[in-house]
Amino acid sequence: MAGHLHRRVGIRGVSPIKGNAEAGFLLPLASLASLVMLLGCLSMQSMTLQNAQRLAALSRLRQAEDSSMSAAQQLVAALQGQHRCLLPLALEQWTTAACISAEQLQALARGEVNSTPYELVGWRPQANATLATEPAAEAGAELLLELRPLDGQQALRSAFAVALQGNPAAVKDLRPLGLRGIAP
Amino acid sequence: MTLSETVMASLVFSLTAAASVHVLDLVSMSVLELEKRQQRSDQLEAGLVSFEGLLRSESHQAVPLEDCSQAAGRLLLVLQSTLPAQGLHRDLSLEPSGEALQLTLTVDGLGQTRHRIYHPAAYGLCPAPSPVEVARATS
Repeated sequence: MAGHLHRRVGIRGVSPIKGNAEAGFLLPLASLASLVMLLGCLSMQSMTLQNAQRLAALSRLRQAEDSSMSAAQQLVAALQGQHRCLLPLALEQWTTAACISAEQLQALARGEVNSTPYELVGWRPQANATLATEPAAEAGAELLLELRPLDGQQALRSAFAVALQGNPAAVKDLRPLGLRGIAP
Repeated sequence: MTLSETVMASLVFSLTAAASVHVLDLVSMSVLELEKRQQRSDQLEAGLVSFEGLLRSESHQAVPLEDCSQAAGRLLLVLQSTLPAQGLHRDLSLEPSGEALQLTLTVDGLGQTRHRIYHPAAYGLCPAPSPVEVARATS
């Protein structure tokens, strides 16, 4: 009787139920460790892919900045050259200005640079009373441009600071103020 | 714990470990490549900022010439005489109109290029056109 009981309990005094549980722990443990390892690797890989996407987005943004800057240069050169009378006026007043026709205004406000169309959406000169009386007086204007990429990407707005000097006002400098977000 | 279970567990673990090491190897190579690309892209940006600083400083020192073509030609000569930073390749030329500069900046090992157009008129280097010129241009 005692020998039979000893055989049922097991050699080391472990019950048969506990013995079965011990017998199956290695495979689940290995599977769990493998799963953790794989998930860790995959999360690292997804982080790397995210970084690659971020870098590609930054590259696209810098290309857009290049096009914006070139467009601003083109537009300011046109204003400085043929349409200097518009420099002290806000964009809203350009349509009623006597020195430019509707066709010229349309040609001025829209253009293309680096195969990317752009549109002038804002010209806000700062009011400076001394500009009219003192030739060396300086004033500024904010130029707002909208880039409309042809490849289906969203239109981007960028702003520029234009330094004006003298009477009649003339362009002295052009500085980028950065992107102003996605156009509505 | 049977022998077959031990063999299966070690097989699963060793296969997953080998796959993980392979993935980690790929990830580390991608991270290194991305870091290099980021550095080159920043180098390109720094080159562009430096060029614009030089352009602005030259423009402030220069006096307006008789026309924009002359101003662009002089700016081209002055800017071409300066060397770009190491590793950067700069291509500076006149636009077909002759009144603006075209800048193309590239860096070794990066497919990306930076391309910008600069008008001397935007820096106050072109004189105001005469009324006759304006009438001719707008007619």
